[in-house]
Amino acid sequence: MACLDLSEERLAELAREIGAELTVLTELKSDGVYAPNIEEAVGLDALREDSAGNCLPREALLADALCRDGDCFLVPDVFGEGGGSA
Amino acid sequence: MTDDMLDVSELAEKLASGETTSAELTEDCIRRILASPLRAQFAYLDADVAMEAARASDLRRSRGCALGALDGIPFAAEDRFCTVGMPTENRCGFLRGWHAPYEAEAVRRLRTSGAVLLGKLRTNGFSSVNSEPVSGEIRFADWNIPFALIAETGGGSWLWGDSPSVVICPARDRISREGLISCAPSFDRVGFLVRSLADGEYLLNVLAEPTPRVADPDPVKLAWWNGNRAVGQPVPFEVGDTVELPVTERTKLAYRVLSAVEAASEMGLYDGIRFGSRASAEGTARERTAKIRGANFSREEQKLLLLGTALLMGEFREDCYFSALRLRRELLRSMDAFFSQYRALACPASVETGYLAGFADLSALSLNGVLWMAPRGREAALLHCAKGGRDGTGGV
Repeated sequence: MACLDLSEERLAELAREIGAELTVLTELKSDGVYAPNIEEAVGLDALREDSAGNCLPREALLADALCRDGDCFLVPDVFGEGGGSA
Repeated sequence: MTDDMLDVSELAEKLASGETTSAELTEDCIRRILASPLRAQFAYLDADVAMEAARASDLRRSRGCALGALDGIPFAAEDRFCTVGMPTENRCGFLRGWHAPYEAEAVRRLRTSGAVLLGKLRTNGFSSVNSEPVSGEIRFADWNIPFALIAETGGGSWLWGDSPSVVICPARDRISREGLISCAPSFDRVGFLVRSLADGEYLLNVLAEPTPRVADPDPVKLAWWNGNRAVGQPVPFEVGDTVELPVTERTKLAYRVLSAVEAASEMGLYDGIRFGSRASAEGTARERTAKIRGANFSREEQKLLLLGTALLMGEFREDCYFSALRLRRELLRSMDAFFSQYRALACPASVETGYLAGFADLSALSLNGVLWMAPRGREAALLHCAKGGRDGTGGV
């Protein structure tokens, strides 16, 4: 997850230190803790029933696209042939 | 020039009266820095750029077009601020030799006020969240610069507030963070090191964004918290109460959790492809990124990154991260109620108490080993209280 390439020796060393720190940090655990979330913060009901609503027409959405291919946005390649070009 | 560095208001008077020039002042600062071990405090020092800016300031002044009291006064900025014409590295392998295409807002304001940027001060990089000062051995008073722009994250900066120096960091975003290399966004604050409270007040007026003033409680009272120390420190003022705060070892743990998660998230930006150095490496995109990140982050940064990532996974997400968020929210609520009764809070300035100002998003000031805190918008009262505490006049 951290996307970090480390030597086995370094990894073992850090795993030991982080394991010890996580043990200390779990002292924060308390009963009845619930997960605060953005829905609660802004007063949204995340569990409401889904319902269809109005949306912009496809042409309006694509109007500002720098490049398009039919009904799709075109985005730059990152790797391979043409990587980095628009 | 005198042997002792003067504060901003004294230097401004000398510049205005023609007793000295910005070029003389800047040259003197550079000479003293280069001739002492203080050179090591600078990640980058550019005498040519500084002297050019100083001569431009003198020219403006000679034509009667000075930009204000700061015009011609040298300063340094921590290497976390993006600057045009100087590299911005934040002690991070990914940013080695990087020249920002824009200037941090706080630096821009100072430079457009005519202040002369001498160079960039060394930082702890992403490890700034660990509450340790960059160097605790050398006092700011010995730095031979009139003032410095700093970024405060983990509370390590408060230890610079040793007489006669003052460290001031208003609440988050009172001074713009635009162009600041972020370590932990909800804790990062911009502030400054100055040589007197008067300078602090002046720089606040130059740098701080306008905010509604927060009224004092009635009656006006101060609070002293001994920072949960077993042996108390003498209270530095007479009027006020000694209080206990809902700040415990768990609060410190909560800071550790949240700052590690935020730092890991910030470090996630450095993928070696879209952002950060793009060293050659073999393999798939993910393998290349992993290799580049492994090579460019220091051991301490690697540990922080792994810790912050682990804290968002599995049981740690519930047990640590959400618990820390809840604890912080409860503390913010408690501090709101607290400051409806007290004008300001004072406590010993230490690594153990320093993180609290960022954790509770308070404006804070450190002077003579005492950390003063007050809510956003009560900075004028904070300066007044600190002055009273220093002079033994009560602070209210």
